[in-house]
Amino acid sequence: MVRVAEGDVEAYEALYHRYRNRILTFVFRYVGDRDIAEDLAQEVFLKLYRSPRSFDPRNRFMTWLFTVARNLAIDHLRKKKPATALTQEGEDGEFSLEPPEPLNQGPVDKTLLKEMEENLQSILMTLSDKLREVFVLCAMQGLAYEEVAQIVGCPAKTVSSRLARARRRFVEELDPYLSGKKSP
Amino acid sequence: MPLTCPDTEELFSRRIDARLSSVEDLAFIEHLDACHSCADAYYRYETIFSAVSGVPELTTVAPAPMPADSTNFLKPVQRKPLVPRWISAAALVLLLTGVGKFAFDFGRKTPAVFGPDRFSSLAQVDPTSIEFPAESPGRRLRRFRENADNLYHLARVSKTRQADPNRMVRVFDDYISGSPLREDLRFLRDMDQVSLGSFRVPVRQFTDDVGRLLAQIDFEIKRSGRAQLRIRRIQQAIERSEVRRQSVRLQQVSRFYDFPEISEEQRVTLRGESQNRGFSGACISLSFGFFEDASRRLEGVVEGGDEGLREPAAFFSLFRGLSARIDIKGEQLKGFGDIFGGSKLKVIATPSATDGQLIIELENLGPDGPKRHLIRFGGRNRPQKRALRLRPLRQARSRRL
Repeated sequence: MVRVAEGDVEAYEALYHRYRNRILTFVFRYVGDRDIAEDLAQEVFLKLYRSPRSFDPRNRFMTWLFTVARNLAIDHLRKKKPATALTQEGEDGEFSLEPPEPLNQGPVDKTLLKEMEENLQSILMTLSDKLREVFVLCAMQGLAYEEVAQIVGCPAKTVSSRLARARRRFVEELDPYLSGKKSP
Repeated sequence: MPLTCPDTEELFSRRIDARLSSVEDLAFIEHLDACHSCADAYYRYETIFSAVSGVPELTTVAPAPMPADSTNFLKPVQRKPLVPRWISAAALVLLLTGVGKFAFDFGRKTPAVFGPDRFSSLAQVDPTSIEFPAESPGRRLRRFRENADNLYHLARVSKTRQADPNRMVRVFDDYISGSPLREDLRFLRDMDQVSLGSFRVPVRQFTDDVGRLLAQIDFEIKRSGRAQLRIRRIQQAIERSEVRRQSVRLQQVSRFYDFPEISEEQRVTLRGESQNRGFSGACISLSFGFFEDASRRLEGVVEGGDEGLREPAAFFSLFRGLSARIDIKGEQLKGFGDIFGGSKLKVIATPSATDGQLIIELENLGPDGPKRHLIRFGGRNRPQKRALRLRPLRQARSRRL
């Protein structure tokens, strides 16, 4: 990152190639739309390109990058929100988005994993923003609670409790498929 | 204080992230040991979120974004302009007026600098080679854990058998110098632990503790004095360390990496992996994806090994895919005794050609003669998720280490 701040284009490109998929995946899981996620991911790296000095070298680079990505995703969702139906109030008092599309209707003999992979995004979109971001960062991107706490700006204990709630909700959402009540 | 079921459920999330304190972890395990439904629920929970964490990332082939005003990017390094501004301005005017084509390219982006050639070479870099070193941390960690576990078992065996202390000191010496413990320790300490995600901290703690323990054992092996006292200090050091507990907690990490590829008709020896959570005696976990690839057949033998040196439970990672757990009935397979008694457990997993069922045949080649167990999964008319419903054993508690 120091090299990027000194104007090293190759270092910038190396960083881009190293982190592009992680950032894209994170943003996609957050906003739920592949095209928008691609745009936002590009914007994240443009921000890195334009103002590398805004990164504080005392922090971890990945944490900073995820913070930028999260802020852009939030901005996008805020702009989008008035047009979207707000259905239920989350546990933190925040609103969660209505699932954008019905859960996937796959064949019966698909494995659980495959089934879950297909429905993953739809289930994620039923979580509130706050729960979803913690879930994606911790349970999917494998970041530590402390790192996520830094990204979302709350104590690590809050991250832990949000993650537990998100996982519980996730299992609840998945349950109809596992128990066969909701035939996929 | 014993946990209640709701208390235990509250701990599920932190438990799979290895964030419980040792006291909480012990209480958690004890509760699962006693409560069948919580044990079931936890296993299901763990299976789901192991699968979630293994969902592949999206990939993009888009080149690195660079805006037309790329001079902004270079500004920070140009603390002192190489040429005075008036010269730059004059040069620009000359370029704009004198050499039209070059001026046009200069004003936009020069292909030699920003063009696709550079991107295409970089686009070939496989991101996984950066994120995950070729030498997988999971494989190393698994071996390291097994060897650290074996130190624990050695200590237990040396204590219960009251073997000759001089011989036991030599056994420890031979084991530590003969196993790749130190090599793996160096690797795990030096590697880029980012790829371990949230397991970074417990892995670091584990390697540090094993490192300290090795130093202690080494010291006792090399010092002079009565072998009986030295071996007792080694036993105490191992038993007091958190190594065994941490190893059990880290078993989940190994699952994320290195599922071996099994080719057709290949015979493999499946190595034991601790799956004993304290509530189940002998259990075998399988990760399989046979339904996707029903032409394959896998046959394996679990070997008992030396007494006390292996866990009875085996973790088989046959293919990436759905995880299920099979518990072998306690009265038929007597946990530790049968396997440690030098017997073999033959496992044949055959996908049925007719209806897509997976049939797993377990044959215990124990001293009492072969005993067979057939377990069937799936089939076109039965959803695979039923495989998750197998219940863990409870009566094996007294046989736990």
